[in-house]
Amino acid sequence: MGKQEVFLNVNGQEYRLYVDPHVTLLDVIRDEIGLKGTKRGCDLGECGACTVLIDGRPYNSCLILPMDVQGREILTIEGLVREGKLHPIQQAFIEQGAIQCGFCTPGAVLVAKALLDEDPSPSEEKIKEALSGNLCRCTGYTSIVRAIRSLTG
Amino acid sequence: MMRFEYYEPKSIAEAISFANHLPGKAKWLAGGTELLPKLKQRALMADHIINLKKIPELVGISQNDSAIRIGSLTTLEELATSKLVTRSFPALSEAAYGVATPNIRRAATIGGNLCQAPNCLYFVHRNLWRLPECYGAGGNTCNAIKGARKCTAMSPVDTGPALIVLGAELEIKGSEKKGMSLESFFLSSGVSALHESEIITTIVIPDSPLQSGLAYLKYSRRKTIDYAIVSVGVRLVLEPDRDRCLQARVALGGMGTIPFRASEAEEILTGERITAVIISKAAEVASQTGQPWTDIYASNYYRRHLAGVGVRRAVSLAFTRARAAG
Repeated sequence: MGKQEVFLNVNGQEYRLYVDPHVTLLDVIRDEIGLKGTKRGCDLGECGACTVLIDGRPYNSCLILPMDVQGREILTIEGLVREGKLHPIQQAFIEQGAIQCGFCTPGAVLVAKALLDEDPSPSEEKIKEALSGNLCRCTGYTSIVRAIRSLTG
Repeated sequence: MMRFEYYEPKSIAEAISFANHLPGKAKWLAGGTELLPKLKQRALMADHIINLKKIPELVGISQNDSAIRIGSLTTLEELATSKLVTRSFPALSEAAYGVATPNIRRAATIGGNLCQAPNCLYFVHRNLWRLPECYGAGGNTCNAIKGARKCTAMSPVDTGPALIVLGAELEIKGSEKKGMSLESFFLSSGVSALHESEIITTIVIPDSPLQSGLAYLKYSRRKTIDYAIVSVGVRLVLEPDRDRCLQARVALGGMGTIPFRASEAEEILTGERITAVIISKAAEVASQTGQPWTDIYASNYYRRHLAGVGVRRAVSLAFTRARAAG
């Protein structure tokens, strides 16, 4: 059977790609499209470093085959920057020192975006629950939660 | 990940025909949160992957006269948040909500959750660690417990105990249609009554009698991204006087290789006034059922202790909910 033709919409741009069926969305985003902001952590769905937003909701891109997300809007961390300016969530992460080694940051920022789009003033409990699938091995959770709280009303 | 050929059937009949006619090993792809990691780790092998997500009739939750019907490809998130489920069976939502992480629940399906592979590091990493093929992989040895005569891995099915006490029935399609109770679906660790060319199409949950209460508790080391050490499902149906127990169902997960009903504990509760003494007695009996193994997650002793605590709390909670119901 060989390669499959897939049409992906990543950060508002259409891509027509030929991919092997065993290649995950994460691999396609990093290696075919070349957007390296989406990180490969465990590659097993446990760490959340590979989180992308699909139609506005966070998913682990390492557990998705690209054929399944054709015609849907995929947003990676690179898609948050507008005209060279960081997204307010990214700015808040910097201001609150919520970045240590930075490997979990793209996933955490995207989870925060999905959460704040759905509920502009979530409780601390809800923020923690939303982040519960994103491991930060620097254990900087307190500052990540603080960064998200600094944006709530 | 290992290479495979990929198929996207548009109907159940087409999917089954693929499974029957493709040479080599075929696997169903539902949410992918279990299959894809297991393929990456070479714990499961497949020549063909048949994606079920393009079959519309497998998705969704609906209600008919006397039952709620859950399509097998309904995601755990949908199960945890569906108004129909949270209103009728809050404990089932809690069970679905307890699985893994928010990202995984968005993709993982209820049908896939019922068909999870054994949760055993020696099974998952046997190829990486160059261990002999174990019982879980069709071999004839256990790498986790020397001398064991069968697979000793605990089944991680988190929704199992909640669905069992609800009396869930499965509708299965293969060469022919069949139905069975969820209780008889689990056979041994990672092995179910489902043949490789069959699909669970629907999980049917009959309406609960009036004055019934349901509780589900999961004990794990972490709140998220963790399998249960022990999980407990309890459903009590009370007599109209709301004092005596008409029917009791107690199901345990993590106390053996598969989720099962603790019938001795159920007998103690049935027909009795639910008091602290009766609850403690049922909990004590439940903690002595099953055959929990000591593994890297918990000892046999600790699992029994947790089962006792869990049954005591779940029965109390189910009793409170049953008294408040109807």
